[in-house]
Amino acid sequence: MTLATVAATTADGEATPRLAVRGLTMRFEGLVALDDVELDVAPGAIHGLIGPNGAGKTTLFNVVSGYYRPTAGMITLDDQRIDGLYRHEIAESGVSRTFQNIRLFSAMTVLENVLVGHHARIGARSGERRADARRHRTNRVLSAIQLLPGVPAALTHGVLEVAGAIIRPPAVRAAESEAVARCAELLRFVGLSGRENVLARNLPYGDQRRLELARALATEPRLLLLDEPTAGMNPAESAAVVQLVRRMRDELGVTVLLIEHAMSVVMGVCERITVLDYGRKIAEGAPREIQRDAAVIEAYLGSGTPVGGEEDGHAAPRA
Amino acid sequence: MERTRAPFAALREALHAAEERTRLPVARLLLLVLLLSVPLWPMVDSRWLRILVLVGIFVVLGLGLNIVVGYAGLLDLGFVAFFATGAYTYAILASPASPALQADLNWWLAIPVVLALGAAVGVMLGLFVLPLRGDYLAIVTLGFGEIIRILLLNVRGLTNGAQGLFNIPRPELGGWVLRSLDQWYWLLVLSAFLIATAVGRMRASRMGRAWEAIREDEDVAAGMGVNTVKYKLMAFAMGASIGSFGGLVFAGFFQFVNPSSFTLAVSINVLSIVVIGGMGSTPGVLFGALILIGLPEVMQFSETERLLSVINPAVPFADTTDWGRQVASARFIVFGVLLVAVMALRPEGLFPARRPQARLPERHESTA
Repeated sequence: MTLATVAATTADGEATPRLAVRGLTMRFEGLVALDDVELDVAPGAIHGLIGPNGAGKTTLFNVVSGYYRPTAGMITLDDQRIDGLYRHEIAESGVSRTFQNIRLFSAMTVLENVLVGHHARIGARSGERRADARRHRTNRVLSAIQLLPGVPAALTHGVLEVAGAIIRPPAVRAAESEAVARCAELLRFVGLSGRENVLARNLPYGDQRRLELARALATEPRLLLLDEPTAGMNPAESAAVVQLVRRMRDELGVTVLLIEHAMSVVMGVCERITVLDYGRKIAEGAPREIQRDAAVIEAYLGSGTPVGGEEDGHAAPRA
Repeated sequence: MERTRAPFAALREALHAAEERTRLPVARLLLLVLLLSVPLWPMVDSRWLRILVLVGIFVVLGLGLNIVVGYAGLLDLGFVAFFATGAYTYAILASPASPALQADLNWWLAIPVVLALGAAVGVMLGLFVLPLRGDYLAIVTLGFGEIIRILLLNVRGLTNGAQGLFNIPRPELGGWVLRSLDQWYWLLVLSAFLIATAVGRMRASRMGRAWEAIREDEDVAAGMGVNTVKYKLMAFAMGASIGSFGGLVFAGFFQFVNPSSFTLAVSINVLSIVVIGGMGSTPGVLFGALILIGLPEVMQFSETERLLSVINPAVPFADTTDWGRQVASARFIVFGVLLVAVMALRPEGLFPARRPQARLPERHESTA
């Protein structure tokens, strides 16, 4: 997607949203983590998701990326339903994410980490298509039965994959070197060139965050969910990350939904912000509107101080 | 320290340069030739070869389990099940004592049958343990190994129960029968070499990375587009397939199988080989098997006794006249102490797995 089309679709507001969340409810035993949440993220947007601790932001990410199955509601990516799909299917259809507490494959090298992100795109074979996108996993037995017709194909693919790995025909080699080249390019993009063979766990903290970004980008996402990308960073480091997030959108055409506690980051980079509190959406709008929104101020401070007033910008404890 | 390392570093560099020049795995080929030449060494007699064949079988098993435990991080305590599957498949299909059927299957033709059946049993186990991790997985796989052994004991119509199956034919190819220990040894060296190469290539592939990602963080791997179910099943299938091949060699070599050969001890031995050698490391499996399987046997040799008697220590109030025999009879104690020492001093194993070094294409240095 070029910048021009991004601008066009966001301007008229009629285009299908990249991500649409409808009536999303996530109930854990006795706890309603998300309550009938509605959310639209426009294609090419950098959209912020804020709220006090425990508001359900990360839960929303977990539901969208398939880590939890929603209790109720519907999630679509470019008008295709993705709720109910397996995690790897959601990743394949174009949703990727990073984690609040960095979760790298720590005993693997930097390049290997990114290559795992690229997994589904390496020599993408035509036969192994996603099953029905509207398939809902209602129960275990039913879903097992649904999988049965795919067994011969899966068997063939398994044998072919093993044979390909062992024999290394030219096609496999080509796909592999293409993947390595692409991933090396992404590492350059996030500023980790030259560290390809370092074990992920040996990277300094800031670089680990960058590596997570590169790995997420390697899945070739249409929508990227960033869970506190600047957590634990100093102002210079977070400015660099903000810059990187902008370049992802501008140069790679990725739509970004980000959770952030640092208000300076949110207000600086996001074009639109959604505020959650106790699992409900309490406000949505441009940064300027959000800063003045009475409900938001109430949720954060319980009093009349505008959001973003403090310099450190971190979420205030619930009153 | 530096001085002792220098010659090895020089050797390594020379090998590396040779590999670059010839584009062949020179180091591995040299090792292969060295191993193949063992039966020609003057000191190696049939006792040594018998032990080396046994070590070879355990190298094969270790290579299989290494995929499951070392790469995919799935702690499998029932690996003996696949060993038994391979051995009994051939025994049932080839032994004249087989009560169920007389298929007279040729050993060489049994290879694809055993590989496929092993993979199938591996997938079957995998399906049952898919949602389990860590300790729970270990316990269930342990149970699986025992179930297979008890099945072998009780399905008499197929396995002949506790008596086992005997007179299992040796590998025969157009009238040429694999008979001598030398030949068995060579067969094992060559097959282990082929398996190690295949496993190394699997590890360096997209599939191998998926396995390691699952070991590191299964949830994140799934979130990055890895079909974790598929790759876990494939790890089980590959490991089981290789383990079954070990069983096939076992049945052909000893010409006799019965359930008492397939106990939990085998699973634990193979797992120890993988752990002592270094999880995920192929040279580790080789040396782990040499130490764990080879050493206790060698310690019973009369040469070892004599050698130990020469360095007869003067321990006050202790009878050390028969020192060598004493060590030999207490070999498992000595051996246990050795294992504990290895794990204490080198917790990552004797030969920790080395990471592959990515080679970046040159042209990308200029693009931005």
